[in-house]
Amino acid sequence: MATTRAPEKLVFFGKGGSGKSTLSSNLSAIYARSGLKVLHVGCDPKRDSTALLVERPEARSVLSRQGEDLGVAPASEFLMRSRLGLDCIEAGGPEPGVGCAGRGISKMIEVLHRDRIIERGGYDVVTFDVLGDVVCGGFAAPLRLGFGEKVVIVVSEEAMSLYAANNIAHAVRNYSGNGVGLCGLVANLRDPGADVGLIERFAARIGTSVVGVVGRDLAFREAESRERCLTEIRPRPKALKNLEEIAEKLRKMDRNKLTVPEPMDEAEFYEANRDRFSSPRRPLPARGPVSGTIPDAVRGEAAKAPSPERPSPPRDLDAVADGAAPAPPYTRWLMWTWGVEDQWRQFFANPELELNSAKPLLRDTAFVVQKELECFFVEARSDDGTAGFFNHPWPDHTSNVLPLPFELRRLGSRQLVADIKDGEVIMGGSRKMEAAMAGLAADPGKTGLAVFLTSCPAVVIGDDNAAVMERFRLRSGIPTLFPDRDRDQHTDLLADLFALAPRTARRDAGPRVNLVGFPRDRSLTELTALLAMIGVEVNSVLLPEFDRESVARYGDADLQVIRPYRAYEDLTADLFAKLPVPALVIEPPYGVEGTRRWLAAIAKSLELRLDWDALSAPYRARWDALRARAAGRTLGFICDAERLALLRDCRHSAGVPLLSAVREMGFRLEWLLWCPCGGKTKHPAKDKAGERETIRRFHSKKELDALLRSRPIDAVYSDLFFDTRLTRAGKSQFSLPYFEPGLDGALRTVERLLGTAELPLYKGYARYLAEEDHV
Amino acid sequence: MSDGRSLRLNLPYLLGVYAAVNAVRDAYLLVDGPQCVSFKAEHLSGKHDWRSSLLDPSGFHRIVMTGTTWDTVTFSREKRIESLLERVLARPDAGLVMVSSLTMCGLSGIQYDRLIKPFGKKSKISFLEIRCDTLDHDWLDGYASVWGELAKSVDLARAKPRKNAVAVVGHLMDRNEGDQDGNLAELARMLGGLGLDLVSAWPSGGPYGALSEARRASFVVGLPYAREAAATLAKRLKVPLIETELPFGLGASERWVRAVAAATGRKAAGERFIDAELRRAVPPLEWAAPQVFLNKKLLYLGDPYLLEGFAELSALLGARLESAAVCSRAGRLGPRGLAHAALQEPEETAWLTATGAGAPYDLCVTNNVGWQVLGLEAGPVMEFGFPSYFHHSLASRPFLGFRGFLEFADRMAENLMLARMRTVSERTPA
Repeated sequence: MATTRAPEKLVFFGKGGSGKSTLSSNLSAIYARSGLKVLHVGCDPKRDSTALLVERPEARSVLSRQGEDLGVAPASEFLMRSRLGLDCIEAGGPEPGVGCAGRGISKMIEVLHRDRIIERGGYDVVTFDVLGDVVCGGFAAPLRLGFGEKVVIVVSEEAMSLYAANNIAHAVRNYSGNGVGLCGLVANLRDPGADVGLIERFAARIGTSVVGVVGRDLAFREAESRERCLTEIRPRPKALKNLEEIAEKLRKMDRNKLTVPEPMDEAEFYEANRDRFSSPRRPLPARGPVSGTIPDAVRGEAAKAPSPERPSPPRDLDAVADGAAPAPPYTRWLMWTWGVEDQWRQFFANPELELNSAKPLLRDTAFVVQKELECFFVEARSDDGTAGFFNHPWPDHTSNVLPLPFELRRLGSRQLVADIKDGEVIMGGSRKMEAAMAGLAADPGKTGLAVFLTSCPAVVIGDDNAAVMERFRLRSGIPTLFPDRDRDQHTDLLADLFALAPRTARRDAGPRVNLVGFPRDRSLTELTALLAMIGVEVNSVLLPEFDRESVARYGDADLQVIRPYRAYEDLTADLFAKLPVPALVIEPPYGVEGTRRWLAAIAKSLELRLDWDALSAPYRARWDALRARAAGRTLGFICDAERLALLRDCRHSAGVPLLSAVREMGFRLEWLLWCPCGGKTKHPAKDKAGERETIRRFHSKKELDALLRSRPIDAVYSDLFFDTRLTRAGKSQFSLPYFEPGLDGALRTVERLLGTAELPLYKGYARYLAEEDHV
Repeated sequence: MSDGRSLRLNLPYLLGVYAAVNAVRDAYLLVDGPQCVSFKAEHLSGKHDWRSSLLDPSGFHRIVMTGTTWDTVTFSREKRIESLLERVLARPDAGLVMVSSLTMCGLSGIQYDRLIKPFGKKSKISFLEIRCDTLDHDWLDGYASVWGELAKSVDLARAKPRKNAVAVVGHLMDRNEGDQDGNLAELARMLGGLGLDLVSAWPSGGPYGALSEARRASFVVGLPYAREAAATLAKRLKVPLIETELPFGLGASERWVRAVAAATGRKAAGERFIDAELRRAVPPLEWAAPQVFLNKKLLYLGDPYLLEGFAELSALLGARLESAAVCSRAGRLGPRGLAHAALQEPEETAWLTATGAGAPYDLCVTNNVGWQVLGLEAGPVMEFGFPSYFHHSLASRPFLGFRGFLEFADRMAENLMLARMRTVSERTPA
């Protein structure tokens, strides 16, 4: 008869093969026979927990695949009524070797919670039979708030069984905050002559006791072979009485008085096991709050500073959380770190900008993508013509994701999605991948290349997608690439394309150059024209955009002209530098003088003549007029000494020589330099350009705000588009997208900078910019 | 071509959660996940909402992430989460802190509710867990989930319902721009027309504490975006719940007023108000309908709750809704949406097939997702709904209610006439 009081919730853990399912099923049967309303929950992907309780043909599980979605159907549909008068439910789960069974258990618990199965069922007892050892949070799901309360660990006398029990005790301790406690151990002896005292000593060692001992009894074997519980065997087996006593004892234990175990660490366990747990325990170290930490070894590795040559995501997450500055500013992530104390004075965002440095424009390509829907909406795309948080150097020409869907269609390419939902996490995603690839193999259309792009959830599932792709390649004959997700997938893809590219026969016409790091826009057209004027043909252009045709003809050149940019340095070292084409890594042609230097260096490398005066003559008058206007305007930079040094190296600003460009354009510059309190860092009083450049120091946010409001700076550099620090202080801003290469580009750059410097909006109305209250 | 799957045209769960956080000015959300959970805020902060404060140039974003990646998810990180919560707690502008996770992290068994409990006890700030449901649920689930939790937790102590006071719960305040400000003002105006006073709108873009103003409500009007929250609030306040459709379009606005009027005993006032509104809203359509809308072929992709009104509005003006699809899982469309055989969470290829893959149409009304798929090759696009990266509202420009109906029809007319202008220009010999 059901009662209205909260049910007793028993959770059975133990090493695989320890007899959990047999014990828990029999106990459920005993409770049911005594008139209690019982729910038996099988938390094992093998779906065998209820084998003794429900006829197999009737057995069904929550996580059996129902079309696309797992766990959508009400849990009540999966409740099975046992012939013994109790309700059963099985989690089920993936086939061995695929998916994540732990997530499956977790999902079932969510479904039980969602449908309020335990509450609505009016149960007196709920037994959870959980697979093996506690292997991850998923298998510990029955210990979450509102579910299991009384944990029983089933052990044998074997060392590994006790080892598992010790681990489970750790989990019980971790979840003790939920009101979970340990009833104790049930000894299920393998050897009838085994020393029960060993298990008792082990129990005492971890702060618990042995609740009962189940000896060897042929009745168990007989019952199991007939798929029955002991309660159904006639004549009544002796072992049943023992189980009834255990059942009664477990049910009567007061859940509020259960103990939190004190498990051993691994070294202590092995040491104690060697003397059969007979020596006294060492005094326990004081225990802090129940929660884990990152192991020291990992912490040590994580604490290593990232290489200054290449930004990498900060790994010292504790340092991030504590607000410490884990890395020098040029490797600092403004999005990765939250609330770093000095971020108020950071106006440069190298790593984020460098993440977005390439865009594949590949024709007739199938991009096979395995992601969850969240992953398609990670960083907002920069190439859609609207502003994001960051000022990417070439927003329309780079993309962290694939080109826009309609762009892909124009290229004859497409995206095949094997998306990850709960079903794939639990059951494995390979089937979906196989289906997508089989479809493509059966009807490839014009597809000439397949590129597989993966994601974090796919990695966590651990599907063997490389094998799926390889099978596809063998079956279809279509080349298949699998760019490394640990690096920038797009630049890695470019490197892979070189391995596939057919060699183009050498043409005999005049000198040809490849350009690396020049967006395909009007300034590229203008640079191409400038190069033609000195007799040079542009053969191939790679990065930020890249395509297979440009890769194919890349070898047919006399010179590679490469933009020095940190985002491209790995690729330059690993790929371009190894090609049999001489490489010229040179500051790109920004400004008039920069353009002259660039053309002169190319001409020299190819032994050509440059008539600079003739070439630049049409631009001079306009350039001089713009410079005269610029002389009346002041641009500002906010930085510290380290950043100041980096500003002289164009590799740190997408190859744009910011300083030399704005100086040549004739703007006045004002530096707002941060000095740490105490003034140990010495800054120059003036930059070498002399009087046209002023340096002001600040030590605090307040001082910076005051300087921004008071100094006659017209526009300040920032890598953030929505930089309210500047606009609210009455300042316009400028950033990398303002800068274009070449002579025409130089003119447009000055005009653009003058546009922002002369913008009256912020100067006149800054005080009105603060957000007003809404309704 | 093969029958391989293409992109599902829907928006993810966390984006809905972020939209809700964006709409509560002093709310912080800690998400256990990699850096992508911060980057994701860009879709709202800056892209969709020019007045969002989710991201902060000084680094104190209202979306806080733990940085847990696929290779660190195997380790415990409770201390890191606690440390971050401590720091968020120290923010002077924090009025509410929520914690959620990507499924990848949530499945590792961290009990976020247990972690936040001590913080809730030691501070006046509310700490809430938003369940992690990123794999099988979508943006509207995420949005509703936040409001569901808020409805359970918001402080309603000393609740004292005031006569004629109404709380509206379940409005989609996806941005803090003029369109949504205008919508709220219009809802308040329509209630005012019935002699009711809007004392609390959930959300309104205000701080968390302002939600407690709902304690003065003697009625709760529940809109589709947070039905459960509205029911919870009404139950907690012990006041009547009035569940309504979204007042988008002329017919829907009339029905909305009638529903509220009937439930509050103001039928006559409701009819008077509707009559007055129609006198203003209908005359401008007299010649616009045949001139601009009649027989125009329209497409729609976007919010399921807006499709209902859009379909009705199009029909009213004589335009034909040729194809419709919603960025939503199945189960959210009412009869008016379903009547158009709308695709629900279609795949990209299915949507393209349904739109005729290039067949001429006069206007596609879609969110940014639809534009990304279609481009402008097959016809003009009017961006509408969440997310909209190109269309913003600098000034008050509602699309809900009677005024919103005219504003919206005006926008459509402008887009249709612009398209016609373009067609004529292209037709004229040089």
